[in-house]
Parts: sequence; C-alpha cells; structure tokens
Amino acid sequence: MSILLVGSPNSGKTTLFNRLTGLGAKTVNYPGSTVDLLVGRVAKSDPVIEAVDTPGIYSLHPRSPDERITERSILERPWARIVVVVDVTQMGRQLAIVRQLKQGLEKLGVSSEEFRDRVLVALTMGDLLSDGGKSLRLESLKEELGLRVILVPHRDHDLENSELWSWVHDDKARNDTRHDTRKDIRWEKPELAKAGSSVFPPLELKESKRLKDLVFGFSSGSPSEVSGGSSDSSSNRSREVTRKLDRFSLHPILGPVVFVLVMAFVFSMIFWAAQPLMEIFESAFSWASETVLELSFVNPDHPLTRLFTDGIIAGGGAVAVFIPQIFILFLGLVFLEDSGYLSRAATIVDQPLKKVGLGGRSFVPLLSGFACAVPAMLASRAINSRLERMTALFAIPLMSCSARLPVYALLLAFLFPTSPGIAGLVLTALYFGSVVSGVVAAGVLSRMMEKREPGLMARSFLALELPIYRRPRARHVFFQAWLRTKSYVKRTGPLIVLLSILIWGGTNFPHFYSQDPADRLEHSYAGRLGHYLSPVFEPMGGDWRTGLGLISAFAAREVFVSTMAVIFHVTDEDESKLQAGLLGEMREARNKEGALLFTPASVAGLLVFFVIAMQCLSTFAVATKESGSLKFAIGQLVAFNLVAYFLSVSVVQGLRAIGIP
Amino acid sequence: MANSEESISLENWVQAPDVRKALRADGHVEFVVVGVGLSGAKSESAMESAIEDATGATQGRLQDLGFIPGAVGRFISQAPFGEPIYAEISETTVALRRTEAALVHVSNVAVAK
Ligand SMILES: Nc1nc2c(ncn2[C@@H]2O[C@H](COP(=O)(O)OP(=O)(O)OP(=O)(O)O)[C@@H](O)[C@H]2O)c(=O)[nH]1
Ligand SMILES: [Mg+2]
Repeated sequence: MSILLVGSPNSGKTTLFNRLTGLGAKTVNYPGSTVDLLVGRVAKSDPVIEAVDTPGIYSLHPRSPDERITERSILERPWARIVVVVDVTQMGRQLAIVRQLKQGLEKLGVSSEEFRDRVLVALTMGDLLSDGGKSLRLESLKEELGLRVILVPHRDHDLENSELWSWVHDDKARNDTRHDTRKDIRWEKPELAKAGSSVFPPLELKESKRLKDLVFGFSSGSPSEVSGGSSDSSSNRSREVTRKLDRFSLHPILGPVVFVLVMAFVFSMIFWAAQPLMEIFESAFSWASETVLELSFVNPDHPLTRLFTDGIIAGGGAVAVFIPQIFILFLGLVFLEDSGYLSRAATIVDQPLKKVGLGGRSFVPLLSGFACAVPAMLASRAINSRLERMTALFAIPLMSCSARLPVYALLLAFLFPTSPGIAGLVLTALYFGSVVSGVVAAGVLSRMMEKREPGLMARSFLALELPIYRRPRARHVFFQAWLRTKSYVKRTGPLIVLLSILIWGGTNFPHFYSQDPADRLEHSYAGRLGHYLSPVFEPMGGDWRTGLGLISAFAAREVFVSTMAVIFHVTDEDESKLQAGLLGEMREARNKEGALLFTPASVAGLLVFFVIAMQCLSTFAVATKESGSLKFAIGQLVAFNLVAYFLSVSVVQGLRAIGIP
Repeated sequence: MANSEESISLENWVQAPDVRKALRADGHVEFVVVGVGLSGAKSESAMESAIEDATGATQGRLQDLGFIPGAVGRFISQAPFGEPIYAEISETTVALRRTEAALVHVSNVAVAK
C-alpha cells in the first residue's frame, strides 16, 4: 500500500518523506529539486506502508516533465492515500491544489467521503511563524475543506506519537473511516483518468486566499497580501530577513557582484580548505604500505605483496588523497543548496544563458554538473522547454565534475610544484574554461537544433520562484556532504581497485621476475598492446603509458591517476609520500627516444583533454535515456572526444612551436 | 481581456517614471493585477511572447504563481539590463523575463503613496 506525498515545489515534501522513512533523500531550498518518484518504506510499518515522494507541482496541470511525473503518479499509479504537503507560510497559494485535486477526483467517481478518508493536508514550516503556529485556526480549515489538517511537528522533534504518524500508520483512522484506506483507490471512470490532467479544474487561488485569511484569523478584506507587512500576523522573521538580503542579492549592480563572489568563494575553497586534510590522507596511505612491507611474515617480493602495495595501495591511494577536495566541493554545493541562493543565482545568469539556448532554469543542472553529470542530467527535468533541456543535456558533461578533480590536482601539482597559489589560480581557470566550453557547445547545438526543427523555437519560460533564505544547518550540511562523498567513494572505489589490479597485472606480466624493470614493462601484455596505441598519443606528447591511462580513464576519469601510479610504481620504500613519489617518477619518465615524457606542454595538453573529453560511460547511458535518443548521446560522445583530442594536440604542438618543451 | 486605458503590461509599468521614482524612494512599489493574457500590450516583447507562448504554458504558470485579477503584488528590483524583473506576489518572490511580464496586466492608476 502506498501513500503519495504531493504539493507545491519547495513545500517540504522530501523533508517529510525523509522523516517518515528515515532515508536521506536530497532536500534543496530550490523549487524543483525532486525530479523523480522516490519510494521508501515508512519506518516501523507492518504490513509495509510505502511512502512515495513526488516532484513538486504548482498545479495539477503539468508544465514541465517533472510535473508530469506527479500528475501521472496520481492518475495512473496505484495509491491508497495522499498527503498534500503545504508550506504554511505560502498557504494562500499552495492550498489551492487540495480543491483542484478534490474536484478532479470527484469526476473520476471518488465521493467526498472517500476523499476525506484518503487525503490529509500536512502543514509544514510552522517553525517559521512567530508563535510556531499555535494560534492557527485549524478547526475552521478542517471544516471548510472537509479534511484532516495537521501541523507537522517541528523538525527537531520526533514524528512518532504525532497525529500524522498515527494517520500514516492507520491506527486511529481505521475506526472512523468507511473506506478501506489500506486498499488502493479505484476509479469509477478509468477512461477519464487516461485523458490526463484535463479532469482537473483550474486553480482557484481566490478561494485558497480566503481560507488562509480564515486560518490566520483575518477578517475578510484585511491586508493578508504580501503588502500587509507588519500588521500581518503571518509575516515571519525569515521573510523579513529574506527581503533585507535581497536588497543586495537582487540589486541590479550588487547582485552580479554577489554572484561572482559567492561562486569564487565556493570554488576557491576546494584548495585552501582541503590542503591540511589531504596531507593526513597521504601519510595514512604511505604508512599502510610501509607497514605491510615491514610485517615479518611478508615477503616483499612475493607477487601478492607487490599486487597489494604497488597495485591496490598505490592506485587506490593516489586517488584517495583527493577525497578531501571532493568533500569540500560537496560541502560548498550543499551549503548553496540549503541557503536559497541557487534560485537567485539562476535569475542572474538567465540573460547570458538565454543567448546560447539555455536559461536560468538550466543553472542548477549545470552547477550540479560540477559534482557529477549523472544527477545533473536528471535535474534537467525541471526545464520545461525541450530545446533548452536538450541543450542543457548536451553541455552538462563539459562541466568539470568531481571525477576530474584528482586528475587536475595531480597534473597541476606537477606543473607548479612550488607554488600552490598559482596552481589554485590555474584550477579556477580550468573551471572557468569548462564553463566556456559548455557555453560554446550549447550555442552550437541550439543553433543546429533550431535550424533543423524550427518548432523547437517555443522557448522556455523562467517565471522562477525565489524561496526564502534559510540559514544552512551545519549538521545537515556536513551530513549531506559526507553522504555524497561516501557514495562517491562507493561508486568509484571498487572500479579503481579493479582497474589498478588489471593494470598492475598487465604491466608486470609475463616477465614478473625479470631483473630489468624497463624490460619488464616494455614486454608486458600492456606494453605490447600499447605499442599499437602510441602513434595516436604521440602527437599529444605522450606515449603508450599515457595512452593506457587515458583509455583506462573511460572506466572513470580518476582511474587515470591510479593507472599512472601503478605504471610508475610509486611505493618505492624510500619514498615517504605517495603523491610526491608519483610526481618524482613522472618527472623522470622518458619515452623511447629518451626525451622526457611529462613536460609542461604535454601536461597542458592532458589538462585540455580532460576538460573536454567525455569519458564516462554512466553519463553516456543517462544521456541516452534523458534525451530519448541514442543518436544524441553517441553524437555527444564522439564530438567531445574528437574535439578534446584535436585541441589537446594543437595545444601541445603550439606550445612546442613557441619554444615550451 | 484588459482595456488598455485602465491597464498596462507589467513590463511597461515597471519602466514608468513615477514607478521608478517610488522604487528609489521606498525600495518597492505595489501593483494590482488586472489579468494575464496577450491582448492589450503591443510592445515588441509582447509579440515575441505571442510566438513563444504557443502552448499557453507561460500564461498558465503565471496564474498558478498567483497573478490573478485583484492580486496585489510588489515590484522590488530588476537584474542588470532590466531583466529578469523581480516581484512579490501571493507570499512568493518570483523572477520574470520581459516576455513573461508582458503577459501580466496591471492597473494603470498612478502610484499612490
Ligand atoms: N524551517 C523549515 N524548513 C523546512 C521545513 N521543511 C523543509 N524545510 C526546508 O525547505 C526546503 C525545501 O524542502 P524539500 O523537502 O526539499 O521540499 P520539496 O517539497 O521536496 O521540494 P521539491 O522537491 O523542489 O518539490 C529545504 O531547504 C528544507 O530544509 C520545516 O518544517 N521548517
Ligand atoms: Mg522534493
């Protein structure tokens, strides 16, 4: 049996879902954060009760793909009960969905008694009202709506023992219902449900405003509108704070300045805040491999020992040292998400993005692309126009995701060993470069699509809601960033270990016991295979070893780092630090002709390659699904990798031509 | 829908000199929504909206957000180059492009304060 949670965007559905199920689904102070159904088991429910979280809707007439999912889940998916989630501070608008739902279901043959038994209105954000919602006249609202209405207990309190809890668990509700609310609802006129949202009448905002006045105890005609200001007992401090902050964040001149400062702060934090943590990680991994080698029963030359120290620890450790940076990146993103600034930022970049077929609504998907392209592509469902959505899907893989961070960091440490400050600036430049490349790609694609399918001209709308500012809760922010880091490690960790083992095997066999390391590598399986590859990578200033790194990076970009670490055997006992060891080996590596393999030019070429290349199979899979076109995804994959290759070759050759080795 | 003598598109209204003056003085200016629709305004953006709004989705969303006849809103600011326009309506702050603001008709009475 399932219970649907529906309601306006940003009304707190996912927060309530998490509280009911004990799960940790992502909540964001931005309208349109949930874009798919989330299903979870209500805690302590037996027999199992499922809670289903839905994307937020402004009305039951959907206007974007994510809203359509909610409409369909009401009309087509089996459900037994619905909780309509309403933000009490925006009740005048959000309550209207209740009546729309009721009248629509009536047409499908649901009587008002049955509606009363199956639907509950949950008011959230009571904590934002000055008195916590104590003076609300819920009784009169219940009477008017003919429904159960509850105020959701404060977030810091347990839901258990609340009225909501017993309704969800169907404890008390059973006695006074005529309908078996544990069974799924049945339409009397199923053919109407197929017709879709046309069963729902238009929203009646006047009516919901009247109800709001009633609940807050205004006499009719009194200023309950936003204009009321101070005389309005529903006015809350957060709304006032928001208005004050918006004097800056929405100011015609200061607004963009604030935007640049906020973004620069978040991305520059990745360096300076991560540095101390990274050193701890480095020492831990070197310590681990040294300890293994020192164990008395371990033979340091045994293949298994070498596999462990030169393969798994070297490969895994080389990537693991960058986990702090990734954590800090997530921390910054979660902080932004929680604050309510995302919407504002989106409106500031709306005009520039419109020029390349994107818009303000693409901002959040693009920004989440800096963490990972996969959720970013899903987030694009909140974009209503197809042209804009396809354009966003196209540009997202160019945003420098967290998987590139280890690669950038390694290569930058190579280029600027003594000046982390400059490395930091160049990293910022790389992020900027990825934005530029995304903008160029978007411009190219949107022009192409407009030419081919003029119908797509129907541009998107912005009409974006700006939620109130909320103070990010430290515990929540750290916990979310931690959860995301954990899932990052879980996702890529096994891949890195697996590939490290494969690469280690490939580069060490069949001549494992050969005394000459160069000979061992040259004539290894990977080495032999690599000779076919070198012609491709030589123009980039690489040889087969870099080529192997780039190819293995198709499993996951950061595998490049672990592959380099395994190939260049960085756990020589005399090396005290992992990264320093790897960099040292890289500095000495030479190609067949005896020239240095990693030079400023070839490393710059690699950086350019990584900024643009699309080396992620899961991104490819999601692009196929979300765009609904395999051609689109293949085109994207081929185009980005070809451009990356040729740009990288031109950078290397260009730099060499002007005398940079 | 709206008679152009009594109403003016929000897009044009925000540019009126007395509106700008009141905005500078108070930080916000109130307006009363007359309706949402295409007729009335004849600015360039209104023409553009006519094309872009083929599906009616924009008009629908505006109404869902609270731009309904009689609603009182507050114009608070504009992004650089005049777009988007920021306004408060039914307990919500929203950002509208010009093409969207062109669809909202507001009462053309002089700003009283
Ligand atoms: N103060 C306060 N904030 C809340 C409460 N419930 C949720 N929030 C915050 O409101 C924001 C939106 O919450 P979500 O649960 O993501 O809202 P949603 O309804 O799932 O939003 P969409 O998925 O976009 O439709 C988040 O920043 C939450 O932290 C509450 O009871 N009080
Ligand atoms: Mg949600």
